[in-house]
Amino acid sequence: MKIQLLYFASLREKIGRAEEILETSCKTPGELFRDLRGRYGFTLVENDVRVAINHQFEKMDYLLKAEDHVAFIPPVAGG
Amino acid sequence: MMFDLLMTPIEETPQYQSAMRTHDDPQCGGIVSFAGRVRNHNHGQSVLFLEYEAYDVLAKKEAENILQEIHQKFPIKKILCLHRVGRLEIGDMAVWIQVTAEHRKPAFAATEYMIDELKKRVPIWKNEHYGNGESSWVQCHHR
Repeated sequence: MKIQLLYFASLREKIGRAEEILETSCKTPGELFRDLRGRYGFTLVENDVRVAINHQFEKMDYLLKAEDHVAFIPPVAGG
Repeated sequence: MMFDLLMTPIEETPQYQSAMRTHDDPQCGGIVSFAGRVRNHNHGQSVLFLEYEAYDVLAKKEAENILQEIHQKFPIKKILCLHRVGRLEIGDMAVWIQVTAEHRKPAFAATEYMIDELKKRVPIWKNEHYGNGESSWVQCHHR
């Protein structure tokens, strides 16, 4: 299943890009995050991040669909 | 009620200038403005400048959610919130909030709620650049 990943802040910096189109067999954002972590070696863990699918906050056990836009949200620091 | 992300200095925007200069609601007597500016230090380190990054679409959505909550919780008439992104120098205004209400208590409470919730929930990040050439993404621990 093809999905579009959006990377921000420390993730974007570590991975080296802001977007990625990925072919994945991961069923949930949780699985996907662990997969990416293994692939890219960033230090953030699942508990550190939230996930947004198609620009909306969702849970880590959301069932991914083809063409979903997935963004892992590192700890925020606005204001 | 309004939230916007900008790349330009907040003080130079028409929204800010108009809001600070005019008062067109004679029913309201309590107007609170909050400005968050860039400090030159954080956790004992000397900061040279900051870079703010936002997930624009989601930041605006979540900020709108906060604005809705504010209108439900506090008897206020109007709230404006502007947040700047990109590179900011020490002293620059990063975020500005203005609340207009009939009375001051809800105006203060709504302003505090806005900044507190923004800091917890809205997908905006800040990258601090230090004197030694290093930089790090801030993790907000204060509430």
